[in-house]
Amino acid sequence: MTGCQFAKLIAQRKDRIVTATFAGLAQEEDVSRVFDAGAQAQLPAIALFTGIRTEHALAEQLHILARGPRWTLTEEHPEGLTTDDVMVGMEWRIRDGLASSPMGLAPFATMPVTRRAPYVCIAAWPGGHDNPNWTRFERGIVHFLDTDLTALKLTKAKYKSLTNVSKETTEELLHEVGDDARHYRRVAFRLQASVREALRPAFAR
Amino acid sequence: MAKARTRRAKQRRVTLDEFDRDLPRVLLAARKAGGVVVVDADGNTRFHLSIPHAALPESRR
Repeated sequence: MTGCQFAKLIAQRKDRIVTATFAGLAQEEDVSRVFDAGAQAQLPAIALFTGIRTEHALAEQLHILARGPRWTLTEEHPEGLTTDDVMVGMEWRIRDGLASSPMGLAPFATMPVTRRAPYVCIAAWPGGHDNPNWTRFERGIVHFLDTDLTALKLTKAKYKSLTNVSKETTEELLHEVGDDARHYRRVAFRLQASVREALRPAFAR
Repeated sequence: MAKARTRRAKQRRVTLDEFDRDLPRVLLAARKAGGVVVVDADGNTRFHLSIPHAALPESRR
């Protein structure tokens, strides 16, 4: 339950997404292969890690990814948020000059309510700036906002209305537990402080 | 009561080498029911890839 109305619409379509399931810890190049497959298919890509049950196991997976040439992990410090939790930012290089900012989902209490899922997932839009309705994009980076939504055949008015409902629903879900969507603009995972040491070598200097 | 059909969809296997060499063909196979299992040169499963072809029921969105 992310609050995102576009995700709901995409879920109703056939051939909507590239998914890959990893039963154990995944090799970095295999997760990159999945995102490359998404780029080739012009579809969002999701890697599901069904074998990751704890935040420490996730930290180990993130460490593996960070050793690869296409992944950059950072520790984020969102403005206005006071916490000991580790806020993990993530980028995956699509090609020179363009990176994707993946979204993390996980079944952990530290994760924001809109990013909780039965399994740990890393989801990304691996294409370009392919959403003509989203014009305030960052030149060198793509987010889910950049997803090609052509197949949904949305009018400008419908797009605007879905955007507004998405924002309102997400804010409402987070506000109920005293949280704020602004904290997660660049954060893929919010994890407990005890994994910070395990993650430290993975963070870009 | 009629017995429910439980036959599982066939899963195609592709090697990492095939994945890297001919991604469009792998994507075609991933669109079919059951998806594809990607294996290394020794036949060990690395991951399962699929492009779901059916819409999710309302309760799972």
